[in-house]
Amino acid sequence: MDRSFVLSRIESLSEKIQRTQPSEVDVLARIHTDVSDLAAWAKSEAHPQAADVMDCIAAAIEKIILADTPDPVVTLQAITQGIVAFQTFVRDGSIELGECDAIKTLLADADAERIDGAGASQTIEADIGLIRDFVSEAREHLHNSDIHLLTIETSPHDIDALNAIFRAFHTIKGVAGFLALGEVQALAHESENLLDLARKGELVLTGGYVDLTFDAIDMMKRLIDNVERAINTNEPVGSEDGLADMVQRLKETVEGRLIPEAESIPKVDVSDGRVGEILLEQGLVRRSKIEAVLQAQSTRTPSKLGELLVKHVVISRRQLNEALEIQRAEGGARKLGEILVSNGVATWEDINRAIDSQEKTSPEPIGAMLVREGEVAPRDVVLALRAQQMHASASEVREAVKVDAERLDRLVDLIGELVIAESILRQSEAMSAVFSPQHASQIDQLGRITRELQELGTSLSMVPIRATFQKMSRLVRDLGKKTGKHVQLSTEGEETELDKSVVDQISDPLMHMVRNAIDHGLEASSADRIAVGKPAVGRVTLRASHKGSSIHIDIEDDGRGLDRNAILAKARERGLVQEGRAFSDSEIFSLIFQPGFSTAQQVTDISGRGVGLDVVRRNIELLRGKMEIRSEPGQGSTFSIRLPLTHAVIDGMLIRAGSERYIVPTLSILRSLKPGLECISTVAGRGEMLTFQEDQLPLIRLHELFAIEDAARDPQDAIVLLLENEGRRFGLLIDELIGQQQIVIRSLGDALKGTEGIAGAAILPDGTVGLVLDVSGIMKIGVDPGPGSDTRVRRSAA
Amino acid sequence: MIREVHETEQNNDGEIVAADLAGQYLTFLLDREIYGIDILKVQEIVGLLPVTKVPRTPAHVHGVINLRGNVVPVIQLRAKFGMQSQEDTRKTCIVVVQVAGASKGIAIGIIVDEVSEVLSIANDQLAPAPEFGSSVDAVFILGIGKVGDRDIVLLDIDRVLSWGDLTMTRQAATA
Repeated sequence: MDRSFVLSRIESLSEKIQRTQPSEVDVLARIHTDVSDLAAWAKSEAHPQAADVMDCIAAAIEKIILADTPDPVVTLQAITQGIVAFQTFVRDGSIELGECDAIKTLLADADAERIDGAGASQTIEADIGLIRDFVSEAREHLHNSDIHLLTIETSPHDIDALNAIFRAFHTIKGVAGFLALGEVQALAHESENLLDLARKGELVLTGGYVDLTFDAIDMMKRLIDNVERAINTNEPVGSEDGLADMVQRLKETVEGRLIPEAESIPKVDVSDGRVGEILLEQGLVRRSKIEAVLQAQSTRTPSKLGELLVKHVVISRRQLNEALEIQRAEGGARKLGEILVSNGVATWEDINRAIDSQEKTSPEPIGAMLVREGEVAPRDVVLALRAQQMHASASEVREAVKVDAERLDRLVDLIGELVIAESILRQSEAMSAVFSPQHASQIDQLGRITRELQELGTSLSMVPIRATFQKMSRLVRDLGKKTGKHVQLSTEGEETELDKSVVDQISDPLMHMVRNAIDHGLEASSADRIAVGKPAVGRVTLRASHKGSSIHIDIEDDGRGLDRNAILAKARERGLVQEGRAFSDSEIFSLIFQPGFSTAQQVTDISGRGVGLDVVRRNIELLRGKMEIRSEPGQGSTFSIRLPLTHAVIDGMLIRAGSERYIVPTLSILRSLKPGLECISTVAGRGEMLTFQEDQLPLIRLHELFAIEDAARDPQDAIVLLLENEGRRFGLLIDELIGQQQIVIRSLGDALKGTEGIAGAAILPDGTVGLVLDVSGIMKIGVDPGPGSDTRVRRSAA
Repeated sequence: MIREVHETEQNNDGEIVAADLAGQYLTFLLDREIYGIDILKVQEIVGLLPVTKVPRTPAHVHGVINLRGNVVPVIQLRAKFGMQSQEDTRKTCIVVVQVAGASKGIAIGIIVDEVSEVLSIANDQLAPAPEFGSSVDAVFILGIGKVGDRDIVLLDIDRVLSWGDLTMTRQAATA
């Protein structure tokens, strides 16, 4: 084994072990193999100490597997520490003898506890003074965390507050590890994991997550109390009821198996819905106290730099005191920030951040001040804040007016007509004949108002995609249970708005794809994931965003990725592809949208019944949208949906063929090109073909299809649009590209509805009607002539 | 006044006669003959607007127009009735009529040579549709109105513009 391989192996091992529970015997067994291999490697590299540590770890794992250890959780922690130390060793090339011994002792201690018969309790051996410092420091951190959590309740994305809480737990974990306070360390570790997810934006700290964090802080406070009691009485640290449960809850939440419930919100009946009023109404605080706090709020002085740094857990109070001491000794020659930086406890970045926030701090909210004064429990403030929000949203509803949907549609239609009328007016020749500057500014004014009306009209029927995404998170939870896979769903861009009718129609396809991602995308089990060095918990991400005049929705999983070869083999078996030519990834991936195409090895309860992605794609295309797939083997897949912003407005390319003009939906156009004669050939039985980048694509002449007499016949005078539909590409021969524009698409009317090759109509800026080409219809009549939809099958069989 | 224009009945001789056709008709000229459409079917009369051709439709489907933001199909009545086409004149115009659709009324424009007037036709001025000798297929005719020395062909416009007819070539082409 070479070093880089060992390093990658130990890294995945280290990650694996941190997520493993003592009950997961099969995982432990695999870890045991890894550890033994690594021990052998360390021996062969002549690192007896490191090999020794790994041997001890291997022995300890065996004990957990055989249930021969008093507290497997403690043993597992010791093992984890050992593996982390080994990881450092592999990376840096050296291991300290002391550390080896420490780990061996840790492992031995974990094992020895049964002999003591002391259960999970621990005795304190470390320096009493250090522990006293730790207790007071931890209390300060926890107290500050309470207040930061209040900030997060109102603004869940406040990264400063998140970082501060994270650092608080991180610091506690570090010191507790040093002082061998196992319980404190275990709790801090899991809390830190949860906060880290929030920090990385992988979960949003709201509702139940905030409550869970409060629970963790409260539990931690009790543990710290126990530690203090133990040093005062010189007795072993008492164990705390519910700790194991708490750690378990945190762990499951981090792994995405548990979604914590938010506490029920108190019913309040107050007129102005202010936090203070709500707390008063619940009898949690006295009015005199609130008034005193409000008074303090108005006469508040800005916080000092040092205090701010301590509050955000950048430095500890001890470090602050040391720095202040130095400053005093030097007679104030240097600024506090300089001293802190030169002491290496803070960076300039930290200092500048703190100075920034010092300058712009707004008065602390009343809730936070009451908590700081110890008047109310932070949790009560959070509940009051939630009640306030309910109150606010309840009063918002009262201001809304219910409008008949039909009237709304009519309004939106009329606005559409106004937009058209305005653009006709603007472009009319009669207008330019009577042009004057005054006139122009009036026309501009009309244009602005029209544009605003159009935006307003569009927004009337827009709703955020949040509710749909929330539906998916329930689905993921249920599916996770059903399949036994551990899945975590994260969502981004929930506030992205799209047309109400689109939201209704996107829900089913999305659900289908999420199902697909979990059932087919993710590995069959956590063990399979661990085996390839991925986190045990599978991740599915839903992402929505606006780009230009379209909406992008991505469904991403970190599973196996699409299997090119399996898809191709299946397609060959079904005769869907021509033999003997190379395919691009996107061509292969788009094959999975073919009806009845499933590479699932077996039909499961959830998906794989043959009603598949073809339905999804049809639904998306009905919304005039488009789908794309990106996939890396072993890394996962991303299904991207692109949809026009609203049902009615699409981006179109105005084209000309002879004297006729048409509109082609821009989403269908891959590119345009000027064909050389050598690119066009006639293949017997298949009509005209266009050679494009080594591919033979069907070529359709629009003028032939639509019997346009005055169009260019010579391809050299023409332009070919490369179009894509249902994953198949073809060329469309036209005369000229006129330009791109947004159009309001409307039906051709009952009388002409169903005209082949035409999707609808739009009013062009010159007031005439333009026809919107139906790309799939054109392909059907141009490439697959003949009745029925089974043409393709027959052709490929022939 | 409510009239049932569609209602026709057969008499003992198997002749189709109009049940109750008396009423007001918009009359127009087509190839030097006078035709009438029940005035209640007429939505409006507009001059010739720029027409966008719709491909893969029967020859009599002239195209679509923008009628104040609405897309309305336009029919060449001459072509529909198999008459010679003629150059548009100053008098050529589009009569927009409301015909019965699948669920609601559909607006369709018909191109006529010239609109003349609105005539009231009483019961005693009506004659049954001739079986022969008319330039228009008898199934499209409700009856003949005789006003003074003029014969007015009263059209069953719902039948003339029966909406399935407009995209008929599609079925014909693929059958």
